[in-house]
Amino acid sequence: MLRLSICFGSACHLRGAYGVLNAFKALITKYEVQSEIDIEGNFCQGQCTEGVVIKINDEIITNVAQEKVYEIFIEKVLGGKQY
Amino acid sequence: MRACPVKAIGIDKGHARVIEEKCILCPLKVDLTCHDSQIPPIAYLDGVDLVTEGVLTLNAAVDRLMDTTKLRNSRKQDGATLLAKLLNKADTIKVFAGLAVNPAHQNPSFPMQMNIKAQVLNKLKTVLHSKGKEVIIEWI
Repeated sequence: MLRLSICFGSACHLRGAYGVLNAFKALITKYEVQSEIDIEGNFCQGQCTEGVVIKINDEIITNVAQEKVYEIFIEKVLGGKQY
Repeated sequence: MRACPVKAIGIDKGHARVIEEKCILCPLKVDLTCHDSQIPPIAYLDGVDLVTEGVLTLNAAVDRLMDTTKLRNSRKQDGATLLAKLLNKADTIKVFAGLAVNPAHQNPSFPMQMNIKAQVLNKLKTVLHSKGKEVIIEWI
């Protein structure tokens, strides 16, 4: 089970954390991987100047924009396999 | 507080994380079900009545406190409304404010209200004073 945590601190919120969340949710539904990933929020990953910051298991990924979510999803959630 | 138990409100990610990791060792649970494009989500932490993000929520809470009638009738569940309602019920509010400056808040493209934490707290103090409440701000 993957654990995805999205930062909703002020800087990440202003940079579009909700957009990132919704993009991940849409892909999770589309690829029917609800049982393989847990989504949660946090208020800081300590890298506020590089938001949106997400964490997948123990890996922190910075500067995540809504447009980058598909690429991250394919690599980290689907293991690089595009269906 | 008005004949009710003291309320503990955690605001700002830094404080929440310190409370979470150093004091309580309980996980902070951010509520992702309440979407509001303006206000970051709230979170839950055992023993704390309300946990919110910092300056954006606080600034919006100050705005909500300026119209108490509207606030009382509001059914919104965003962090700013919940915070404003809690503050509005209190007689004495003690704020423990961190001196740390978030470098991201210095970004000129961000809203003006984010720039200085002290400005938001002064606005909060002014609006709460105008309602006859005692406000103590302690910088830590």
